[in-house]
Amino acid sequence: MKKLWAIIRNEYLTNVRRPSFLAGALGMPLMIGAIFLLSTTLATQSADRPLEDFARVGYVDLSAESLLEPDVIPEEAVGRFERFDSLEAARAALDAGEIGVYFEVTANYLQDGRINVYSLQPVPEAITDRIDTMLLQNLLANVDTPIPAERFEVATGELTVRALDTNRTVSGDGLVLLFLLPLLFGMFMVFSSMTTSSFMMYSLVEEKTNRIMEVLVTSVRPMQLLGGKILGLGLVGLTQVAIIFGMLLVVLGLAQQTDFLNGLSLPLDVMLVALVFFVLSFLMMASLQAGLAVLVGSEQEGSQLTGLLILPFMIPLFAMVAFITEPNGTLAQVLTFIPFTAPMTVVFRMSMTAVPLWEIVASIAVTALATVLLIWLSARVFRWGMLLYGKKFSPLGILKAIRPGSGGAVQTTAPVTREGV
Amino acid sequence: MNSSPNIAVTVDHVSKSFGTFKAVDDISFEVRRGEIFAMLGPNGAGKSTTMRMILDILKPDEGKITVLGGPINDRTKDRIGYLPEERGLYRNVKVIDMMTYLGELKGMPKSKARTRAMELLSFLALGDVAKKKVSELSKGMQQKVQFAVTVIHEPDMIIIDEPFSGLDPVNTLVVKELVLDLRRRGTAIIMSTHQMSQVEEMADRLLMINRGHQALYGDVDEVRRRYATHAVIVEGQGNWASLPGVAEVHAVNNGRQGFKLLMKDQVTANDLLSQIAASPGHEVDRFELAVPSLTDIFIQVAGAPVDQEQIR
Repeated sequence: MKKLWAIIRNEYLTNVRRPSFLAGALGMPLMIGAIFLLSTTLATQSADRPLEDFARVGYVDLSAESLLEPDVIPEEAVGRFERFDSLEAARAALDAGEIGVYFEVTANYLQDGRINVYSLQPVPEAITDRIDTMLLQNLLANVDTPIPAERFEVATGELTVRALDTNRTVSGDGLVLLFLLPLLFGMFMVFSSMTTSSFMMYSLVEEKTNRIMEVLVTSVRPMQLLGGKILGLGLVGLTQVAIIFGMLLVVLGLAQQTDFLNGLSLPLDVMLVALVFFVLSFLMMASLQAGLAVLVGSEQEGSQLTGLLILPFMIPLFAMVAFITEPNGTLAQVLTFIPFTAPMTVVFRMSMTAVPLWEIVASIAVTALATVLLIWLSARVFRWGMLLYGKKFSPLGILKAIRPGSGGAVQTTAPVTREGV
Repeated sequence: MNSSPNIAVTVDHVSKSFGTFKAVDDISFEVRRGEIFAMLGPNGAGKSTTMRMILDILKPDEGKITVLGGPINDRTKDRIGYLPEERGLYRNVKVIDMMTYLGELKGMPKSKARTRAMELLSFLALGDVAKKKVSELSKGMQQKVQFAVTVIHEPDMIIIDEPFSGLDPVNTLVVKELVLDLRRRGTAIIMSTHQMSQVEEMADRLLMINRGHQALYGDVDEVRRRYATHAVIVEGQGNWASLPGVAEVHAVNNGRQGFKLLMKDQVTANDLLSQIAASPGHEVDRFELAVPSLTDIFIQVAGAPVDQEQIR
């Protein structure tokens, strides 16, 4: 146990001092933010049929003056707006999929301009523009009602979008942050697990090429070494996550001081699930890296393999447009149940919409199962390959190593080593 | 095989194959506490495989190995130091931190490992590089640090593979002194090297492996005597062929004016010395039995085909 602790401590202290750790902890949030904003912009720009995507827009007029007339509808959106008598009726229609979004003209609208928009998914700006146009046309049609001048300037003066499944709200220009924040946090966790697990590759390749490995295996058991490294690097990843979480808390604290971000908060459910997936994806990647690290001959080869290993985990990033437009679509659902893509997919989807609980649980279960299997396989390859020198690894060799009954180089079979026998 | 407490390692009829290649074939030997045991053999003879089996890195296919009183286990491993032939260190770590970490992996408390590391560095005249990164050290310094790592936990047994390679004469002397000191303290030392002069000078007993087979085993002096021819080496003046006890005379190319005198069957070295003393015109500067060097024996054994009968 003392040795395990020594390995954990050594891995932790060595890796938190790496420049790439700090770059990851501080630079990564910026990078993710940039990617996300770009993707969101592309997604919203490419949504050239927003009203079609949202089917119909419902509205409930609770204004004292009954400002909205049933027949005053923007020309291009005739047939797209549907009036409801109560918020409950509109919500029922939303849940039934008859409408994609609805808005509420509040009782005191003429004075405070307060409009609440309700939806299960992010609302594109095109929709709020349409609502604004419709309100303006209706205000103009109300010739008998005295209307404050500022209502004509911006009809949706105090617009609040409420995501019904999570009850997250944000108003005004902070709209995009409603979905951005949990998504950023989730993505950061997945990226963090990628970078910290890649330290595993560097660390093991160094120990192998420097031949320290041969001394290490006469001091500790292979599984002690592997376990200590995984736990040490896992703590490095958690430290990174803690740093970004701290940064988010500071941002949120500052946000409360501003008008447009007031009320912004971190949804605990998304964060909790993101944390679970962080641990799982880290374990998957770290054990994969450990298994491959003992087979490569140089750091360069290791870096190339790390890049390849990370690719499957990145697939959801390329499918982000599909997630934004159809967070509960077939593609999103399929990727939810593939262990490599599940971590990012589930976090993305939860940021966008209400994901059924059974899907989240099943996804975690499938990923956990795959994680256990990967750790087992990698441990066998690790034992087999840790003293393998001067020999190109082959898929056949790896298969032999993971075959039940094979004990690995350190136990029962031996590789031909460069320095001879 | 002996199981006395004086025995550090017992290797009993051990064999190991890799696929169809038999790397080690039925080898048996013992290593005693407080001795330097040389393991010799040409490249690829099976030395590393044997050492790895003693260290439990590899399991033997056949035979039995006991280390420090029993089968090797985690506790035994903490009492062994290992210096592999191809070696390296963590390059971007401070020397003292790396030594402390590797000491901890041998079961030492952190503070004790650090103190011992500083002691060793001071002994090796490396005290001022303790806080430098390994990558900043010269190759010779790194070699010495590696040796220090091997003995940081004051092991009961060390296995050192080519301990003097890469060291200049001064540093060779320092490391040699450290090894001899360990022997004085009762540490069992298994040393593999190609530097035969070091073996002749330091080793008590030896094992020579050739193509997986045990070729020679025993006390260093006894092995040399075993290979001694019925001859003497002389340096000096005189007509050596004229002596009645001499069968043949061969010039010895050792940088000086020497001759190897092969004696007739019934003649002893004492007889020959008496004949020289009684013969006018002969002057002797040096007279010794023609015991072959280990290099000669090594070449003789390694170059010969394996003969099962000659082995033990």
